[in-house]
Amino acid sequence: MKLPILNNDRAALSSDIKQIIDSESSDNSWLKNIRLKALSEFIDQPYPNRKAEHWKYNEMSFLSSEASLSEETSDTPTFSTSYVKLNEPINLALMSGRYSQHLSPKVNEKGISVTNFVDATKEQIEIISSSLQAAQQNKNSLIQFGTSISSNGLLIEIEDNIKIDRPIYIHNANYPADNSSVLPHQVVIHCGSNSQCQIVEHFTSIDERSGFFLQQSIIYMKDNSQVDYYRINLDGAISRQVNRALFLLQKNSVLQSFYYSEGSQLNKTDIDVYHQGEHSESQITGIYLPSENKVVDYHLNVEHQVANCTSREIFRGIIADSAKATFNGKIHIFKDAQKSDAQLSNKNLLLTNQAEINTKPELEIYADDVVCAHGATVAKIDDKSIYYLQTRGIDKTRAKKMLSIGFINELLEQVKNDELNSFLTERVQACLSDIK
Amino acid sequence: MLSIKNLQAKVEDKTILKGLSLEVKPGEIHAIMGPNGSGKSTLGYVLSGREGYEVTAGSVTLNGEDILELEADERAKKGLFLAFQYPVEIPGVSNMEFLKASVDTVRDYQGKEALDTVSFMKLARERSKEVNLDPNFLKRGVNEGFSGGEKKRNEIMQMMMLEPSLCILDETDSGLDIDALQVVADGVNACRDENRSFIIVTHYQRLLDYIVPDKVHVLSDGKIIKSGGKELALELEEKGYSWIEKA
Repeated sequence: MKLPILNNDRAALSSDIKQIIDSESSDNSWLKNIRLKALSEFIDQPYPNRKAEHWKYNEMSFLSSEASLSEETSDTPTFSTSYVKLNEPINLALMSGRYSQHLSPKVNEKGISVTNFVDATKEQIEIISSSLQAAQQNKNSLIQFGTSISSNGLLIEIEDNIKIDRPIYIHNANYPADNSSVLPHQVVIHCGSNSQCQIVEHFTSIDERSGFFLQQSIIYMKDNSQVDYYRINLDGAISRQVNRALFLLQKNSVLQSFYYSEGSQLNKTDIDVYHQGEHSESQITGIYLPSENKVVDYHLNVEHQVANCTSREIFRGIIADSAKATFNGKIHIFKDAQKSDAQLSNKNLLLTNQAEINTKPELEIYADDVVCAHGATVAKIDDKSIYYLQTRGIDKTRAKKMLSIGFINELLEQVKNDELNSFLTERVQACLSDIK
Repeated sequence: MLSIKNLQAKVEDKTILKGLSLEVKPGEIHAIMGPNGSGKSTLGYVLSGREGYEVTAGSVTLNGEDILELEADERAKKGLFLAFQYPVEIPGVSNMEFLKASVDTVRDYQGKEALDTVSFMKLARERSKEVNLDPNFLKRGVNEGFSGGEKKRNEIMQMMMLEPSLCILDETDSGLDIDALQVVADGVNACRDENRSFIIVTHYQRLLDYIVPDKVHVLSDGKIIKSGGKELALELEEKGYSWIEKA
């Protein structure tokens, strides 16, 4: 079915999508109900446009064109070349948002199970439903739209008291059938009490077609769980995506997370971290390196809903050519969240006069006994540092490269997985190799 | 070695050097002293090729070659070294990576044998011990979180690694305690030989107790107004600069 996502006749849009939902098999009424609810959330919220703060710097007019909501893809391609060579990963391949059992070897690891939403047991349905419901309170209405048109999803469960040593590698390769294809993707990762795991979500797409990808990951972290999460966006230059990663942190859970993007025609990621249990900790680190005329947009929303939690947000970007980046980082301390400790920093280097960054750190604090800090900087490569390196025989071009890589290197140290670290170090060097 | 003739230079339309001339022969140590604002640091910047420092007249040759048209890195490759008064901190670039890039480039240009990683590391560790820096500092960012004294010692360490023919030390003694001063002086003295020359810019005579200069010059308002032997420094210490400036 083809229809515009942005349609002033909301009733018509709503009934069209309901029709799509109804036309699918009737086995999973629970999922249909969630989708209908998401649909009504989407219909009720203001549409994304520049008047809304969340979309201020994004060009969203393409939503008025006809979009193809069928999830069919035209071909069955293999993995792209930019596959990260992790050490003995548990491979989970998603082709255009659909879990491909064909490309994912059977998961035999003890303590982890992988299930399609449509095959979920009664207990699993409860987990999925509550996760998707938690995800529905969200300013980003397009994510709700994604849920409404998503007839499936992937549930990954880590059992209680299990430490998974092998990295869980979720590689999502997007191959839209044509430019107007809309491809939703939903992953729910449920981490048991006292569990530990490492998750790499890697997004790639072909260069030839744009498509529109709506990708949501919900990570529920039970008490004392520890998650190292990496979200790597290496998307086709003309692809468009609106992404979201939502983390629900329960008591004493520890999240280390890292984000990387080189941008695309539209590359927007919302990161929502909800501290729901006391003494939970989060580290949210990110790097963006858009060039040419690509766009990167990160929106962080860290909620300290309860007391005694710690969060650290550090994002850095280098914007080249006429690329454009937006960073919005918000820390929200709830009324009873005393002894919260939250710090946010965003630093940017602009390499040209045409490069653009819109950065906005925000604090919203309703408790009175907290430690919070936030800051943002925008600068060019420091002339004095270039000169210093030059006096040591290093030419200007190389000096600029070293300084840019240095600016990013400090954050790459947060990537504890060695293989991923090497992979990203190479990407960063390649991205910055054209600096003059 | 170094020949400066009638050097005039300005920064943002303000003329700082107003006809400075200086001859430094191989193996010599020249001390340049002078009051604040006389142009001492500017001289170091102009000689090393800092952007924004515009030479309006005069000439500078290093080993017979005009260097004023060269970029800062090219001058460094030709053997000119400036030890900064305020070395820059560069987090994210390790001392090791920086020093290796620097030493490799300069040695390659000068046709010296390349150092493999093992010999480079060995040399870097030895040199850092000589200036009393814990070799672990090599893993840290360039000058990152260093104290004033550590930064100055790091400059001397870099100088030892690069083996330049002309070393300009810009107030390397400022902010150093007596022990650190001794370390810096030992470093410089260890580097002395008949082919290597030094220009030591300083406010105080103290450093010259440790590094004995062949010549002492007084810089005032962009010109050298008096030159003499090492005893001139003592005289300056005693009487200040005003007696010369008035003369």
